[in-house]
Amino acid sequence: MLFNTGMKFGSLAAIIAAMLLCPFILPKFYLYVLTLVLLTGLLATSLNMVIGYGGMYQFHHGVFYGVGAYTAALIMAKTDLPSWIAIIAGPFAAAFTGVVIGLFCIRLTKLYFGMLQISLGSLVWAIAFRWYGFTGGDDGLHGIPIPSFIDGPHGIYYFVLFAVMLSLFCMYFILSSIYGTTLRAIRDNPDRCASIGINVKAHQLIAIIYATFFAGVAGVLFVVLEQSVFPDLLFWVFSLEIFVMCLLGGWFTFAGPMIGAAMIIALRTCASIYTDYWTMILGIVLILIIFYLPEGLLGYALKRIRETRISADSNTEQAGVKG
Amino acid sequence: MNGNAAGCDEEDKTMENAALDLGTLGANCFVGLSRTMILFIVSSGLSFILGVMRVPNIAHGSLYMIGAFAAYSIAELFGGSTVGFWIALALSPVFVGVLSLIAERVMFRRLYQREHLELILFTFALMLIFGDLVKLVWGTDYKSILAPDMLRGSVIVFGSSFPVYNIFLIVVGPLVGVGLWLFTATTKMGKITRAAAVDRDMVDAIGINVDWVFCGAFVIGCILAGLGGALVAPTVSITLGMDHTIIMEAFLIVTIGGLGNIAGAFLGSLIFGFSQAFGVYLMPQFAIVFPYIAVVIILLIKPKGLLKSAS
Amino acid sequence: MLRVEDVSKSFDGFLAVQRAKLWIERGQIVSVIGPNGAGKTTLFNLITGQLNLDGGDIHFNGRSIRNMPPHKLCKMGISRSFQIENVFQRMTVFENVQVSIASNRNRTYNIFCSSRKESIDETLQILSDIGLKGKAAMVSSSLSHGDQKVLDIGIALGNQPELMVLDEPTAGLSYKEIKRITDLIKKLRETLGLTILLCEHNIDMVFSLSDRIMVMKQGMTICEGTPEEVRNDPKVQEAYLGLST
Repeated sequence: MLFNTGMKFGSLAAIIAAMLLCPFILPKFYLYVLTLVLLTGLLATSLNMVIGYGGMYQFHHGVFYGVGAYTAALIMAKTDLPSWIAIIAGPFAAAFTGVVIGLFCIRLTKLYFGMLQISLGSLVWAIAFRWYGFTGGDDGLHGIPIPSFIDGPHGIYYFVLFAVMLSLFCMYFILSSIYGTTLRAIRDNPDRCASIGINVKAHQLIAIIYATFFAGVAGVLFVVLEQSVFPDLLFWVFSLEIFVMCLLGGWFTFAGPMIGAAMIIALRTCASIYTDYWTMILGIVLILIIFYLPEGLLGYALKRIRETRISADSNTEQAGVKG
Repeated sequence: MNGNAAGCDEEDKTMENAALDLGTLGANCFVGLSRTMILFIVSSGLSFILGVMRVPNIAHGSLYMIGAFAAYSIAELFGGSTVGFWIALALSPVFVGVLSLIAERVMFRRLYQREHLELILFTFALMLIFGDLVKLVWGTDYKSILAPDMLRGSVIVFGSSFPVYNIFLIVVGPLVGVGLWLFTATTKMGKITRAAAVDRDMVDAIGINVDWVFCGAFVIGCILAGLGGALVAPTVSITLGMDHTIIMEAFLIVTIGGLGNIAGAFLGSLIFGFSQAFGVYLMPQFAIVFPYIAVVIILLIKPKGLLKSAS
Repeated sequence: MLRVEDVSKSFDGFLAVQRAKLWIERGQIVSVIGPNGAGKTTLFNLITGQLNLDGGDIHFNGRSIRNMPPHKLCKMGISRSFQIENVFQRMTVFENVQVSIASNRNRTYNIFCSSRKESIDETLQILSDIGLKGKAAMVSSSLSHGDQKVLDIGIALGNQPELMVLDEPTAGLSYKEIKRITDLIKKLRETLGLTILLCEHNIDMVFSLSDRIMVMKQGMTICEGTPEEVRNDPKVQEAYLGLST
């Protein structure tokens, strides 16, 4: 292990403490950005369950995010049901969509899986995009009432923080279990898994269910933050952006996607102040990552630490032998 | 006698109405058919690249858009004259081809040894960059060009008028398809690309430089995208966002047609075009949903596409 | 224990395996040899379920296992190692074996058991048996080629097999590593009581190790017997040496 348990817990506690204090330190706009980072990071981490840990080409993860968001938004805006129902319904609707689309796609592998998912997801987008009467069409829905138990920007922040931390904890828990190890084995060598008795498709479908559930959670959080919802969330370009976040941060690590999300949103916020060409900047960043940092930022950092450790160890060994 | 005349009038009217309805549907289908040809030209390029390189070129739509904008600029250079249009039609795909060649030689080919996923994300990066590049060079206003004189106006057939330019497109589409087919079936280069699609390592093993095969396939595919853009230019407003719409449609067409199958791209385009025309006729608000539904139904039955894909 | 009877397989008209025959008794080490393209790997793929038979049948412990998929066969007690792509590259040696044991115990769906606590003793036991316990924490892609082959066998052991099918276990290895694998195979039979079926190009190893040898050429069984019998068989000599002495 690179870091002992004490260091891990210590840094985690420090981060949580810092997070809890943020509303009192940060100005309103930065708090908004931080909230957005948290929920987008959750979304990216949920995607990484499938791509980094599962090895599947989940090209249209945004659909499940969007379904979660729209479900919550529609219930809150168009019905009189209590808001906690909307909050619970979102992730389950997303997971249900995940199962349906997943069952279609799981019959195929790799590229076919991804392209079929884009096709099916785009149908959902097209319906939402055109159904002015129900989903608000290309305008989306606005002015969605926040649940009454959440109070102002601070309340929103703490709600999102709590939901994100709980979700991350659950995902980490799932990925550290023996199921998580099996999933990674499937990523590395699905044929070998089949030959040792593992039902590859079943395990992959289950991963999709978990991942889409948490994507739905992120969708609900988006609605809470923005009080609105748009078909852009369901558009495949956005799905690929989440992919980029995972890649940037490091898709073979757990914390990588969150870091990637933070970087992309930070870059986007900064860039939008100075220029209209954020998309081009994102493209250039992506090319730089592909060429120079294929393991992502966190992956690269961990690799360097590992290498420094190994050379330090061998140095001390040599010193020990000599001395 | 009055009764008879009235009866005849009513009969005439019903027949007229029926003709009109059929006429509208027919006109819709006809416009759909010409749009289908554009979709086919663009999708065939995408399918071609996919078949040889196994990479879905996400930047394909951007090259289509650049083709349209470039055609606009070239035509403007010649003052929007007829000659200008034909020169634009010839040069714009060349311009797109050169652009794709540069992207391929400078960056893309360094990635051929990498993970498949990284290649796909590279094309996504290209799409992002090209999209903003177009905004940088041409701005955000709508552009438009006119068809050349000989292709302007309409022809009256069976009581409905059909734009001449659309007829032109309906002729050009299959020509491009036949040309592409001839290329892969008869020329040496074409046969090599087909072989590389089936077994890349074997082509490498017999001494052919697979890198150059990939380069050729990519550039040819992109030229087709650019050609599609140049051809469509007189019929639509040339705007930003063209890339997003076309790439989504091309993806779907290629998926239902069979990845890498040109005839499949043709079939897919027909299905796409007709289901959209049908949708416009039936439920205009949800017209764009109809092709997606067709896609879902087809993929339910044949998840790898209707025709055989390059495995 | 294993009876392969007149098994055939063709690919688009090319007859890769024709009426091949093989018999294995419990506790034996049986080898299949033959020139390249003789159909050895295809035959193995038919036995371990990667391919479906066109003709003939295969019986394991009295039951027909014709066309059974790999995951069913491994529940029945047949385990296999592979010639290439044989380990889980990004996972540690420990995890490689652990996942195999977990699969054998049907615990792979369990999200409540931390992988730190799952089947530790059993995993360490197998690592000990194959001699990789000291490298348990290493990522498997950083292992030497020989170590990876040993790990592959370790993964196959996780299924608690009765019959181990090894596909060219010494391909590409140095002399020292070949000896290591040979010793390991002997140990598997002696200590763990396994029955071994292997295919190989290394003739010395095969003759020193095997109880019985089957020789294949162009998809057919041309000879089957003890090493002595095979060595003296004229058909074999012709196949390998091109001589008709």
